[in-house]
Amino acid sequence: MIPKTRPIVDEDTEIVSDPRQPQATVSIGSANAPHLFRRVPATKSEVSQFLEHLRAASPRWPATPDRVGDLIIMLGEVLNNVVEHGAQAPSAKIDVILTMTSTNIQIVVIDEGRPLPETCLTRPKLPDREGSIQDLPEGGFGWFLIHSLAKEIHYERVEDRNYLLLKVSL
Amino acid sequence: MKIETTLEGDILTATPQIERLDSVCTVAFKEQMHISLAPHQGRVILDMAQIQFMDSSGLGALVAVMKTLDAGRRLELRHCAPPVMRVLTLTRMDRIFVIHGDASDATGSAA
Repeated sequence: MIPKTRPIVDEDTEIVSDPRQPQATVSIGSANAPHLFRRVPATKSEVSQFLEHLRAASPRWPATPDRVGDLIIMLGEVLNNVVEHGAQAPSAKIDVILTMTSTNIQIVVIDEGRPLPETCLTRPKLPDREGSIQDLPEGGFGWFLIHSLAKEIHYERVEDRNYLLLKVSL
Repeated sequence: MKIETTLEGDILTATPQIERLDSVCTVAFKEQMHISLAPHQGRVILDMAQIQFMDSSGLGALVAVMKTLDAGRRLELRHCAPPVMRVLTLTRMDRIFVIHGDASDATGSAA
């Protein structure tokens, strides 16, 4: 049966199955929902290219440019966090599953890097911007952006893997 | 990375020829900006016209560049695309940089 919903990806999008753990139990929505599956090598440049690919494909999605922009900002922060702090093996990969429902875009990010510190799961305060220019923070904005843009965030560590689920409103 | 610069009076305008200011290029960006700005004592406008995407490390790079300006000078940003403005406003850093809407704003009034 052909789904009535519009696909959000190119027809040539690679579908990544996961032979290592077929019983992975992250629910990604109904069978007919449009999905995007990607395995992204855990490097800054591959993440950058992946985000650019999403942006290029997004005009055909049933989402406004602002919402897509938010999704890409948030996903970029999540993936770069994995690259910089989590998955550091040279061959490390990050699995990304995007699902578009009628109300939101749901993202599942799976990696085999170090566990996510619990402090990342609560909304952080903005870095202190008082004081002189020389005292301004140059980092610490990433998780603030993620929590600002995500409607929901769920995290689980299952058998040496990180499963992070995020939702952005459409 | 190529950054074009023009000098008009005491205003140096730097225009990076990149579409993404993200973690891939922030090191090169900071180095190039440092070289471009080092001898200049006046206002500095960063023309973001080519940049369609900026992430948190790009934002950190802008802060780092502003710190290289002495005498409390603020980095001025021009032609910020919507995704760039989104990151600036969400982090409230739009209050830290001087944001110009277009060219006439930037060169018409002092910061």
